[in-house]
Amino acid sequence: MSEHQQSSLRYSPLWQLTVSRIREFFREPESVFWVYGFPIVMMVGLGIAFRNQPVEQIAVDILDGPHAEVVEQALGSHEKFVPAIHEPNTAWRRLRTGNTDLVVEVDSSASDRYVYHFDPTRPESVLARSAVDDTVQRFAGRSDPLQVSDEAFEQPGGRYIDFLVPGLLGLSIMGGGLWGVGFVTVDLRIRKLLKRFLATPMRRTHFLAGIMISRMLFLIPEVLIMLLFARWMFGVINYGSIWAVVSLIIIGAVAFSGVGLLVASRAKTIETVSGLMNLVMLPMWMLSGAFFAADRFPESVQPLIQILPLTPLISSLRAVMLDGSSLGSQWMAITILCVWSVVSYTLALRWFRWS
Amino acid sequence: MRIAFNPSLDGTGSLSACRASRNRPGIGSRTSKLNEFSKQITERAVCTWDVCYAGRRPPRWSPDCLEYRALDHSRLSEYEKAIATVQEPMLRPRFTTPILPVSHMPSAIRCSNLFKTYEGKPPVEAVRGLDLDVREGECFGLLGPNGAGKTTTIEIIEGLLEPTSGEVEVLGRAWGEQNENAIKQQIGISFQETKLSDKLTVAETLTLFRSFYEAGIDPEQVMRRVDLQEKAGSWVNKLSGGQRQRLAVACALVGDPQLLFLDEPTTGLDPQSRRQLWEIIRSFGAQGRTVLLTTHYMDEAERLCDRVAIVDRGKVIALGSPHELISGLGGEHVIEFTLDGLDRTQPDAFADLPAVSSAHAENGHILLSVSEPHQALPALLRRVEETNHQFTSLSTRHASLEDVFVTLTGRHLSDEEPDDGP
Repeated sequence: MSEHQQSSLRYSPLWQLTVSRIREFFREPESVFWVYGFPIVMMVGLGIAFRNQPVEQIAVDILDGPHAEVVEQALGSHEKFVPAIHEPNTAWRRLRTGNTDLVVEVDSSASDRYVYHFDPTRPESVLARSAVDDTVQRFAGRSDPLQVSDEAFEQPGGRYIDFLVPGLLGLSIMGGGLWGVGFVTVDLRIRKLLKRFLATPMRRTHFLAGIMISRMLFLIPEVLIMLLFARWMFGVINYGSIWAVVSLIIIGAVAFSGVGLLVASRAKTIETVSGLMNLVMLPMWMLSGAFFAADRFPESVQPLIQILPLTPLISSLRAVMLDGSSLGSQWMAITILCVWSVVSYTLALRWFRWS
Repeated sequence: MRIAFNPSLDGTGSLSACRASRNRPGIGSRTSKLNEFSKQITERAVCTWDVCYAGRRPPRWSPDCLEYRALDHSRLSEYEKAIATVQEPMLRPRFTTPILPVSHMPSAIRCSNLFKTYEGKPPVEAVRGLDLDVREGECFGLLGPNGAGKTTTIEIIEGLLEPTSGEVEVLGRAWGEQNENAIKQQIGISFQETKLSDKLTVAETLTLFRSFYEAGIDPEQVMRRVDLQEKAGSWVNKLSGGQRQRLAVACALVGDPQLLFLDEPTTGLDPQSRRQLWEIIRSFGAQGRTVLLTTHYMDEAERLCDRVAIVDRGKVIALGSPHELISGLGGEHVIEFTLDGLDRTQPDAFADLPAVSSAHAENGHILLSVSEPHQALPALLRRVEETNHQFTSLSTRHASLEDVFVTLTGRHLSDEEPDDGP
């Protein structure tokens, strides 16, 4: 009736713990959506909304006056301009509300004096000023000494979607580490399952290793789906080494699993751990450069931003994927992530509440 | 009723009394017959008896039987002779293990002077000086109301809680780093409430627990033992309460333990599930292994346990087999009655009636511990008539552990512990 075989894989506790964790995850449809589907949804939504398009037509208003038609004619011969003559009040209103990008005023006393009214904080307005000036000057007889021709650069890498994908990848890894490791642990603790396990000869290291290994395994399809989808839908290419990207992902996943364990080490209720997780994640969502460059924040906050774990992960992923940098060049980011790993695991294991 | 003797191949046997009848008379008449029978043949060597539903027998037999445990195997032949002389042809006796008297077995669990105080304002003294000595092979019960400290005690013995002071030894070893793994390999534990992973199947859960032990039982076999083999592929969250509890016990059994800890195993279950669980626990004990369980149900303690420690407010207030504890009341019957009119009836007024060993009042009822109801009852009726009162209610029943508890503490097992200090 009793068996005394130990060697079969079926009865290896580490295997069973890992497999159980995998089963529990995939049998919960909501968690599968949040982990795999949500980043895709974000990517599609943001990628479409912020898609780079060729410059639209430039609206230019010309103040009504004797020489207005000359300007209108000069601009009208080019497709990209939409010139219109308006009364001054109408024109100022249109400039203020952004319906027009530039207002041209011809000096009534000297027909070769133009005044450009534009909004220096709006890129379209600045662009309109340069383009209009160029056209009008040429029309008035300027000759350019150089021969120039235009070639459109079609290679992807500078678009918003290229910038976004490494950011979403980083967020995905962070979310998986915090919710996938931390939340699950608290849930087990609350259900007294942790305590039940401890009543058996199960080793604690096996338990933690099972969670970590299963997290790593979940990461693989997560990352693959994201990168393949980005490639297929938006043409996002990885310019660096795929192994560099993989290494960074692994280092990031380990670090965030540690942070997740640390956050969950003592929480006793779902509310507590949810609050803590959000407290940890939301600043990084904003500050770490996932959706827009981190250096847009003022200088005084930069040191803090740079040591948050998500920032080096995202910046190093961008460097590799967009700039083609080598793994070695990212040693600073890797070091920061490793320090986070070591500190998190050490503290988590010391403070961990098993029941 | 007929007695039959069924020896088994290894020299033990079982003694049971069954009534063959199409119509089932009330328990009382059967039990009284069996009581007479027990007095005739079993003498002092039998330590426990209980009435159990043993399941379906050949259709002529009703499912009620009385099981006796012969703890002194050397006297088996005396019993055989006694049985042969008894005039009741329809009882079928069955001896059950263990073979040695319990007092000769080594200790499975020993604790001395256990104290546990939880910090807080005010600090909570859950366990106040508790001693236990559980022998190998016995089913030992901790019986007490909610809050008595039973769960705290059993968790300390299971090694999950540190006592404030006191010593604990399980299977001859004290809890500590070098012994921890060795002890855990030999014990199985079931908590009062565990929610196992909802989305794992029964088979997967048992395989997971089995993997923690160096040696154990095949999950399929354990499933059969607890009658869950049909649900092997069902998710845990689709099981009923009784099935979930059986699964919890199965998880405790899958490591083939020598010692089983059960904390309130049948709380909240329907009667059918309770009986199923009792059968499982009984068959575990029948292998000569030890069980320590906590409960606040007196019928559970009476049916399952060889010995019971009644625990109240963190201390053991009585210890012995259910039979001994009930006999300690001075009578195996209880007469309970209320009288009209009198606001404060003095129970002492009835304590001197024949065959009454003690009397006390509770909630307006008077309870008399009686050894021979047929003598006490008529005397009581006469006395009440003399005092010109009327009965508003009158009942007699068998004494139970509940009565033992009430006698000792003045409260019921189903009451919560009061919050005041010792």
